[in-house]
Amino acid sequence: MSEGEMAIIKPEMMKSYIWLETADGSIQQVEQEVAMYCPMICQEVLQKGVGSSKNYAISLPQRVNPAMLSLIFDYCRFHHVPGRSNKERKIYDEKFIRMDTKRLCELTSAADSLQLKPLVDLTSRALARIIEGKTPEEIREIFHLPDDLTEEEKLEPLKNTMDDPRIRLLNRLYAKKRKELKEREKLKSVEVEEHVDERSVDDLLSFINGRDHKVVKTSKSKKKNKKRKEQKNGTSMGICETSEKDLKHNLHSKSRNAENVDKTASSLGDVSNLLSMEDDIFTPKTEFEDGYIDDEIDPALKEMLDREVEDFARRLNSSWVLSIGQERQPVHFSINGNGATRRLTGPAAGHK
Amino acid sequence: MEQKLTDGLGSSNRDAVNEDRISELPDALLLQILSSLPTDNAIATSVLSKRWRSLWTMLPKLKFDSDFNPVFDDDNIDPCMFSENVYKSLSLHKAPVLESLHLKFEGRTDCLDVGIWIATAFARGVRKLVLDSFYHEEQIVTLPSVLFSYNDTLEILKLKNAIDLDFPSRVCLKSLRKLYLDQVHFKDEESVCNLFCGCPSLEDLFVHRYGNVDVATFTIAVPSLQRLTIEDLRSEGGYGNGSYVINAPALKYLNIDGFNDIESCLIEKALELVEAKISNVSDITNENILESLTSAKRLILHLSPLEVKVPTGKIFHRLVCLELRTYEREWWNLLSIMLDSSPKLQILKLTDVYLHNDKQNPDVRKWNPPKCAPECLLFHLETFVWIGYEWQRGDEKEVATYILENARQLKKATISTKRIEREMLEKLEKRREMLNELASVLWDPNSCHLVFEST
Repeated sequence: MSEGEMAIIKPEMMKSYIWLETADGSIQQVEQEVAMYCPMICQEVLQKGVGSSKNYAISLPQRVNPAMLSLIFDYCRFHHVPGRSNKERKIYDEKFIRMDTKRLCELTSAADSLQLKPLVDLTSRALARIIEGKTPEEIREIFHLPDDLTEEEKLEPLKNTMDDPRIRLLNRLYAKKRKELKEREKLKSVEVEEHVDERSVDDLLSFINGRDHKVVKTSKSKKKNKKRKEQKNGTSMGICETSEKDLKHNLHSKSRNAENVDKTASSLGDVSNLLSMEDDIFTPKTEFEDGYIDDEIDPALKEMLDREVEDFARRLNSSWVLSIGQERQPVHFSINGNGATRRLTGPAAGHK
Repeated sequence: MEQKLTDGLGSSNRDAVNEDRISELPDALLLQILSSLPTDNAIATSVLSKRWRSLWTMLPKLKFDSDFNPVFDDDNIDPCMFSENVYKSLSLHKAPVLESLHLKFEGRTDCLDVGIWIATAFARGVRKLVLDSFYHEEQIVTLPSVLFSYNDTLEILKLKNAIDLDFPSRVCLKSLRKLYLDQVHFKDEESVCNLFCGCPSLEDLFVHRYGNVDVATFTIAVPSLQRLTIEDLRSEGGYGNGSYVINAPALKYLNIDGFNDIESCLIEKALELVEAKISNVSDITNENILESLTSAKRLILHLSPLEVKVPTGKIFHRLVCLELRTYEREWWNLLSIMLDSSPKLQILKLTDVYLHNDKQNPDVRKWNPPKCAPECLLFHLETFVWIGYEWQRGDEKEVATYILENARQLKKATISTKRIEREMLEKLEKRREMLNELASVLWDPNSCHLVFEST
């Protein structure tokens, strides 16, 4: 046969190869069906027409080095065959990812840049399994992570964050909303059944900012407000142990009257919207945390805070607030033959 | 695990610099790794290094489980500590949308805390909320109803166990598609109504309850509902016999289990019904279950004809696939009626998957086969499956014989019997004889593929 005929027959009779060039300049060729299993390579071949010869090799992203490339192609070579059972694939995968963590990380990176999702999932899960259940020191050692956080930064998540600005804001917003709605009710004595707030986000925002000078307006005034909040904050909404009992006691003693929650109910949705906007205004938590000190609580401020907290609780649901506090009646249960517990409702349970 | 550790150390000896390869990975990948970890592990990575400090805060899904707390060794997990952890984590969390929040907490958790967690989650646009409250000293958490008065992001809501639901006014959960109520307690029937009426997009409802413990009549009236599963874990006492009312005109899939000793069960006819499974029902004073299922394409009836009204006439005109359980009393009478009522039946399945040895029917031939061969047997039935066929029973043999004799369009029949140990050779022989007998009555042995299997 002449060379010309050989050239024509060649693609049909022999496997076709794709040429790839890694970042370090070395060029390799791989069987086409194996290489096409990688979406990124597939895309390059189909859209740009490269890879068919040495001169037009596909240049691979930097994160792929030759060693990783050959690993990836081993993976592809196994998996692109459609006939394999799920069990076979699973067994292969388990064996495949047995390698040291350094190579595992490199492999994850390379697979990610080639957009080979099944391999990315496999390697990420393997890395997660390594991390799971270990102490930070162990993890740092395995992955050679730099221990570059200050001691304070490390302890930060452990500090008591009950005075969290968002939660304090939530309380204040609820209290504010309740007052506002009470005023509105006085104006019109019509029951609002299903009220969806049509006001725009801007209106609500300016409502908050305009009405209350204490609330953060811009990022610059944050520091000022932070001090005010610190002063105010003694009891907070959360689990500050010393004040928890006080809180509950206050709630219980003051909230005998059930409030009509229906009218105020729908406004809570607005509050939720407001809360998400406030997130942008607040700085990340860290700035508030540093150097935070529990100040002495001015009794008048405490009184006001207690009232706000109580209002918030009342707003949420009057009937279950009754059940909080020391005088709560235990709910009676009975156990039937099946061993399952069942509630008996009655006046003692505080429900009507 | 250890292999990797030593290799890591080994290579670090060889390398000039201990390379931190994992931190080089892009954020999205590290997030994917963190997503595979339990939430508390993921949050713990914040102390690893600067790179890892805030990574976890972008996790889309958070799960806090107070039932498992590695900080404490003993069983008494301090709810305060758990609550504090949840607060801290929620406040630090920064992802633009909180996809899913799963909280498992004790019944004695402060309702206020639960309320704030829910409010925070709603404010963050949570799509899926799971609240699992387990009983501790018989205390229950009441969900603050006012939070549900308006929400348009929540799509999936699951509530389990020690949770009280009290909705004095209608909720508004605009986007809610799936609702799971697992042994939660409604304060009154109004609460039930206010909850269901406030979910205009509700498609899937799953209810697992102790009947008549909380409300006497459980009414499900949801125009958008497509899939309904009710399991009644009937317990004695309470308000007397409870009732169910189901009004779901768009219903496609219905699953009812455990309606025993109930006063009434009324189902509005569901014209779009695709499949219904009714199991373990008995002693219902007033019911219209089977009548309401006449539009179904597939029916799975694990019940006895003595317990429900079985309508006659060719009413199951769309029924293509029917499954009956052979453990029920006088199931073969139900079979007769259903064969007569289902002119288009193509697939018939008789099953006793658990291979009960103590079947309730005496082995006396009390069965009355249909007077003339039913239309479906003559013209439509193509597939016949019997799982757990007890070849020693006379009544079952009669039924099998009848079907195989009369089904003229039968293409494949599969009969599976209980496995017989090799030692019982005599039994094996008898069984083979019996099965051969069955094969001999086949209407058209040339066109029907008959299969015998061991269960």
